[in-house]
Amino acid sequence: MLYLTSLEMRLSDLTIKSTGIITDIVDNPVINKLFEFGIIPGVEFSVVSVAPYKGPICIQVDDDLIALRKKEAENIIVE
Amino acid sequence: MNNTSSLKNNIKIALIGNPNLGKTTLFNKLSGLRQKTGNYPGVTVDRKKGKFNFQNRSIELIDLPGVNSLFPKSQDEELVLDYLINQPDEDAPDKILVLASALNLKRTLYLFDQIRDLNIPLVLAINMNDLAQKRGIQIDADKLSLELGLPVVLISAKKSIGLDELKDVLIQDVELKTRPSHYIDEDQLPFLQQYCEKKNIQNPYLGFLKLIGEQSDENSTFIAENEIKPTKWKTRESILRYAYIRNILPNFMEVDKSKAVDFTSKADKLLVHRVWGYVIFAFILFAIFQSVFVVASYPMDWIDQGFTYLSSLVQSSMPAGYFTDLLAQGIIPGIGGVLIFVPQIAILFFIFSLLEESGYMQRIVYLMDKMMQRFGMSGKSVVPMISGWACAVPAIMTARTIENKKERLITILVTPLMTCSARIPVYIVIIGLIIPDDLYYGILQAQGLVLMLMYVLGVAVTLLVAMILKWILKSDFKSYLIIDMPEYLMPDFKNVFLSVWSNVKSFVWDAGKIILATSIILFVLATNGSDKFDRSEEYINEIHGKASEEEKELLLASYQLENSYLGVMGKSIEPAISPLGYDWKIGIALISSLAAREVFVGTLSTIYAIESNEEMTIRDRLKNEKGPSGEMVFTFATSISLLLFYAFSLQCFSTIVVTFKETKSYKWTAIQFLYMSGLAYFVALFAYQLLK
Repeated sequence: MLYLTSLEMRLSDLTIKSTGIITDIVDNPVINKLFEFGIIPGVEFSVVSVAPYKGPICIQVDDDLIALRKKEAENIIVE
Repeated sequence: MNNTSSLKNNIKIALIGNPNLGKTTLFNKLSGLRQKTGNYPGVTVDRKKGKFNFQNRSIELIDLPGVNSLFPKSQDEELVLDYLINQPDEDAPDKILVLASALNLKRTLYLFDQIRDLNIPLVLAINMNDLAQKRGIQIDADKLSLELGLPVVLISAKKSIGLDELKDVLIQDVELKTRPSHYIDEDQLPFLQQYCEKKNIQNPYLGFLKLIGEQSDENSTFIAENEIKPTKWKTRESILRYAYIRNILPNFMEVDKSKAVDFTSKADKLLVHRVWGYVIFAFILFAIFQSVFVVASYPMDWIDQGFTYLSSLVQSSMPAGYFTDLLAQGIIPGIGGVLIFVPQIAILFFIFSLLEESGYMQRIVYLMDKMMQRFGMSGKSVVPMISGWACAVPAIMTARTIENKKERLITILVTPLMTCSARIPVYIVIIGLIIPDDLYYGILQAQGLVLMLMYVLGVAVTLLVAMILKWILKSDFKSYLIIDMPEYLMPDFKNVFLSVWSNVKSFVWDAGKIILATSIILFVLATNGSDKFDRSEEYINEIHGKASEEEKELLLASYQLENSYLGVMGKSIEPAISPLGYDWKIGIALISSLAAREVFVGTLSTIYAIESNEEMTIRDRLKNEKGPSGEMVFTFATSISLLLFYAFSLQCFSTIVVTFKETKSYKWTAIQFLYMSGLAYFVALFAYQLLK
């Protein structure tokens, strides 16, 4: 089970300057908030910055810059 | 619900939009200075109303807090939803003006799309069109208007572009056609219709919001009976609406990929850098301090000296008597005590509004989030905390943007521990007593250093208490942070000016009333008393018959104060405060500054002004103050004890009121007052006993 999930790449695993497409979002309590910010399956993104000590991660989706915590980013599956 | 706005002379328009889109700018541009209710830095709280006339029609504009969707996650969002769905209300809008941003049309149209389904007459304004064009985004308003079936205006609120066209559209009638409910899956639609019929709700989307948003037995039964999954409904709504928007977007928007290199992403390379970001933030904090202490000290000196001069002028030029004394020793120092804060408050609000307007405030949230989480707060708590350096009242209100209830409560409870500007005069006077003006460590002035230490102490205790609260409070709420990092924009100086103006105005009025009233009451209480007070002249002549006239006058003054109503009050609390190193005169100052701590200095100056007729600055008076046996009253231990007492005690009526308003809880309001008072008393007690 563990190694299966580890095959999927999560947004939280990425480092600065990586780009990709959001493929899926795991159901979580703030999933609607993510949608509201335009973080939905199918969109392209790039990682703009990552705050130190496992702080929030800032991504560009379309033309918006959005910052979210690592914990939220763990629910976002990317490729 | 009627779908047309009748041709009335007065039109009520509600302004709704996502946060950080320039909604406040638009509101200010449309209504100018004709606004009701004060606004606080950065966020729009309460219902702000403005009025303007256009072509013989009077338009009332209601500014609602910025929200991202109609699903309430924060108090601001609850407020907006409540306003929109709980109609009819006397404030119910004739029309809604939805503000979207040309820079991120897709996301801002989401909120529009939700509101559209409420079928209230609607106008869509798309802001920052000039910036969007610069970035290669072209929006065709006519095509969009056709697509949506309602008026669309492209504007730039900051540059006042398109505002006349917008006003023109606002006074015209809008007819909305009912459109298919594209926010729900077809197999679920019958349930929604059934619910609306049962509850007699005309508008299906209103029914949708009520069914999944309102907690009631009726709803729970309906949800259970029909096996509805409210979370699923919400999720599907988001996906369906975004799909709809993405689908229509190419019909009216073109994006030129070869857009100019983006300033924001360039600036962010530095401003949110893992090292430089923090260095720059620290530098900005330092700059705030410098301007508050160095720049503000000049106008503050002028105000202080000006009022001292005015007092002596009144005393010498007006006929001697009770009224002259009241004016020169009560009212004038009282007003001076209010106005002396104005420079610092103006500077602080000026800087905050610059940070907010430029978009940098959100970067602070991003940078500080991880650190603040350790203390049970969120990155968003940094804004209230920093605002707490100006005043805890607006600071506590800015905590509304924190979605998580525990983080928000902790932020509200600890924010008054930050060193607010009302503490500054108290600190400055007391520090001046124990540390000489000309003491330097290298290039650092010792007084300034101690003042900075007090700020550090404030922050440290704020974080410490927050951490303790984090341990004590249970949390049933999930904490999260998803924020928008807006484009960096040049601050609009009219907005900045308006923010400074309204904050200074409300301070001068609200705090001023209390301070002025306190100083008059104090003066009356200090110059009246019972029997002993009335017979004081006889008593002095009897006991000190041989003293010179001058000495007699001094002795009389101090005997009178001691036996005045005020003196009796001070004496009655002396047993409780003498372990802290305070005498009854300081006791009077403590009592009078219960409602507002800044009254402390004014009270001391009133008390000592009553005693001596010489016009001296407050600090000189305190330095000369001697106890009954000739010992100094303001010793090192007493001064430190006072500094600590004022650092922690919640002597601010306005803060108590705002905490109650924001928490809607007597319990938390009482807890905040009690823990801070307790902390103040025992820390001061400990310090005095240790140092004396």
